Amino acid sequence: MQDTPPFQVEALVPEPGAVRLVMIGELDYSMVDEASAAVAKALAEDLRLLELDLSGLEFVDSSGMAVLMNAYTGAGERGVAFRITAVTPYLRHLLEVIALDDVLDLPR
Amino acid sequence: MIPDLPAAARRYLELIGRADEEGAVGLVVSLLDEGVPAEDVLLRVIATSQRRVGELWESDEWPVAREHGATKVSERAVAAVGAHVRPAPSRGRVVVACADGEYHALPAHIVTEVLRLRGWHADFLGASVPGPQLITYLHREGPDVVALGCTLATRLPRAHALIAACQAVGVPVLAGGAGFGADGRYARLLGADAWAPTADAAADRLASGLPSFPSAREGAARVGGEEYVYLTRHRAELVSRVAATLKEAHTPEGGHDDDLGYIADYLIAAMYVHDASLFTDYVTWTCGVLLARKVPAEFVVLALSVFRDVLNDCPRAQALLSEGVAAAQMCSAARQQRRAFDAGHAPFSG
Amino acid sequence: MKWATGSADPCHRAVSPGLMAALLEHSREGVVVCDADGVVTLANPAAVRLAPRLEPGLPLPAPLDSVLSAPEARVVTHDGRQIQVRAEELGEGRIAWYLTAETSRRTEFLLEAARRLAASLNPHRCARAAAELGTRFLCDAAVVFLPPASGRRIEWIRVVPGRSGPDEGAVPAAAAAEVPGLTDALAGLREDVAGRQDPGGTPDWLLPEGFGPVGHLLVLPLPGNSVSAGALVLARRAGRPSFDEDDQGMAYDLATRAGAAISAACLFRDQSTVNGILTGDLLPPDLPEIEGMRLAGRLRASQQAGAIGGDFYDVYLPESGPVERPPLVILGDVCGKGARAAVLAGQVRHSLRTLLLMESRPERLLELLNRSLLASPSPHSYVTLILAALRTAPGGHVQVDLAVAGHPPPLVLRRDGTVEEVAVRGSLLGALQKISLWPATVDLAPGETCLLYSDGITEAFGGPSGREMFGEERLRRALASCAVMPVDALVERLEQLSTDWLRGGQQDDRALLAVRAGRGASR
Repeated sequence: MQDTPPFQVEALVPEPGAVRLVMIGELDYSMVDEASAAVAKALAEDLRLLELDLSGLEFVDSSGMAVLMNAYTGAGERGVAFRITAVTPYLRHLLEVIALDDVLDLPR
Repeated sequence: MIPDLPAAARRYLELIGRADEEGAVGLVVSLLDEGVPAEDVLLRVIATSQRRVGELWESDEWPVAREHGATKVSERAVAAVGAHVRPAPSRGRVVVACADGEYHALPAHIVTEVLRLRGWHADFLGASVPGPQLITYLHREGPDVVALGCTLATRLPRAHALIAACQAVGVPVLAGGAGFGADGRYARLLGADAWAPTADAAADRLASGLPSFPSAREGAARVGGEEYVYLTRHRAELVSRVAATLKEAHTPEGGHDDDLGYIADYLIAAMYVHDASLFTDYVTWTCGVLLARKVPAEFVVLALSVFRDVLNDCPRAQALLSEGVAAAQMCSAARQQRRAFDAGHAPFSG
Repeated sequence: MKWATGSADPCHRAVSPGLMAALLEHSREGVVVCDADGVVTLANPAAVRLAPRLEPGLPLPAPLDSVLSAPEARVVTHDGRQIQVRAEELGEGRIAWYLTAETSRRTEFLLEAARRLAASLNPHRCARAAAELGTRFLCDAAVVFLPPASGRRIEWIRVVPGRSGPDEGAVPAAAAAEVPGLTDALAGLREDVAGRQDPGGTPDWLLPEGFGPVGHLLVLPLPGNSVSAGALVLARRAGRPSFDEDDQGMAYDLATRAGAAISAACLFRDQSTVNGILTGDLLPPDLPEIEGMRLAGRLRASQQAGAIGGDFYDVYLPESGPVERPPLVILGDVCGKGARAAVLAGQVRHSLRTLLLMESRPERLLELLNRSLLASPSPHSYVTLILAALRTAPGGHVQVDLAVAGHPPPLVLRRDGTVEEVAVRGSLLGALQKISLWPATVDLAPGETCLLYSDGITEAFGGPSGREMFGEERLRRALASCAVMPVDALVERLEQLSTDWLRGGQQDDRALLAVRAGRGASR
């Protein structure tokens, strides 16, 4: 049987002062520490823009959603611009349910 | 005047068939008021009618939703009996629970009420009790016995885990319900301290006394095995492969995907207890149920054959499936014979 | 043993030296052979296991050497272990010793005590086990006194073989003082190391009627976690032998082990009582009867032992006060799992109860709740929530005013069996300074149902492949199939379907709450 793909997060620097976190796999309760750590590490740097590429994220549970929210609010508190560069249709649906699609200005 | 209980049961069935809760509860309470012993109301009116509900579902006369509605009303009726007649407890403490994943709570609920009527301090934990919750309860409340219900043989592995867990914390287990086999053979195999086929038999068995502590056992019960573990782990994959193969074969009149899941579950349960009759009995029964839904036994024969082909690394499972195929073929042959007989004896047909 | 004497018996010829060695190797009985000088020439593995100092080439160790050949075995103690030894002369001065482990009454007692006293975390069950062990190994009646939980009455559990089940009762401390030595034992003190007491002063209530005069009495404290775990009273009838030194040692062991078991059980009881009080408010409430409608709810927590989690529902009936409002139901989900999520869920339910004293408009309530979450000292307190105000309307209808904050919208099951998703949504709470809400009102005709659920239902992973989500579409179809059911059967069936879907896989918190217009039968 095929194994559940583990969650992975990778930090890219597309341009100076910007960090893009690419999240892949399933972001659930068991993986939030890893994801949170990646967000915290990015925000600890002198940053202008935090981007999330979520096109590889297959599943997010409520704990995982909290990580995304923390990234958004954490960026806001530090005056860092926040952008989601790519989402899956599933994730877009979830963000619509929690009515954050407008606030987050999702890519079309 | 002594009320006519069979007539009352028929009336009761009619009411629950309409999900008429007020009517059904009213009938039950009026029987009690007329002096019918509460145990008779539970066993000869409610339980009897519920057996009939099961048959009506099997023969496709009642849809599943109607069966559920009726059962829910019966749960209220059982609760009403309990609220109406409640002798003070004069005997020990029993906790009644259903194995995790077991949703047929009504029989266990009836057992609870019968035990209360017989003077036991009986608590009912409800359907599908997770193991940790039951064990926490045992530590907290310290009952003398666990009465464990299991109506479907497919829950036997989980029931086994629960029996062992109860015994490990020093509480003996009385097993009951059709899942343990008509003669209770699986209850014995899985190490239950006692077994009873019906609610009143359970009360009698408890009255005759159970040990205060589960007896020490020599080694583990002989259950499961390598193929059992393999099938349990790969059940989902197995079912989807069989479904895909059947789809490719364009089976004309197929059963539901769920039916394949049930076949896998009974196969796994039979492997667990090392008893082919558990599987063949299920195959015979399901052929009847499917037939009532216009699915011919040939579908079962075909499905079982595909299971057998797919499981070419599992000789024990294949042997069981061959026995299953034979059982399904018997059903199919019996039906064709009857059809031929009917055709030959229907002077005005065609 | 003919073959061992060396005759031309057919059996003898059948036993080759190889076979002989194998037989000795696998024998459970220890076999030792010494030559005429008393030096070990052979010791099979079973013998070495029983008597580790045995070694070929060395003299036979004491006390085995003291066992003379005889048909009866003798019990000797070797390295603190009891061994049954039988010696047999083989001729030419050689002697064989056959060794088996002695299972003494004491060993049996220790094994049984360990098995029974380690099992339960319930003080009564432990006390019963201790009393049963007492009567099985030591005495004709055993009574365990438990430390008073409330300080007034002392509970006792008594076992006398031949009676059906144990007897239980409680006595005031003054009555307990009638039993010689009991007051001291309960206080953890003992007059005599062995616990022997004069049986003459035994009060009648201690033993059942017809037990007969007491000949011998032991009263021992049960040592606990620095405080007493109660006391153990063991009685033998007059005419029976008195408790000898072995008996007293065993009674002391029993008291020590029972004390440890009972005090651990009392600790567990106290903690689970506190736990029960603390989590009581976090469990879902019993759903009340509301005129003109019927409610049904189910909640399952992923953390099964505690039965608490991040999903919750609640009902707020109108109260007499400055704000008039219809009954309100809520269903929500706290981001996260387990006890931490449950505590936040409890806070949300509590906050709402307070807010409802001043405010009844659903949107306004959600805004206030959002602000309180943002101000919460625990960071990342995100909550999704549905508020549903339930107003009865003419013709048996119910109007449901819905406000949804970041939660999957409710489904409505119409009379004709169609299922609709309510067009209502709004922001998650606890994340944004300003939330957006698009509320809606749904009209339910008699028999129609509005279903609130949490994403644990739709996001249950399982199904035929084991990796498929249950999903909204499947939930809608399942709901449509429940049109004729009573509303509690409907909720139960949906939970069952989602549990079946999980197939024993890992489950999330799951909540369902259904409101049906009208009373009684479903239609």
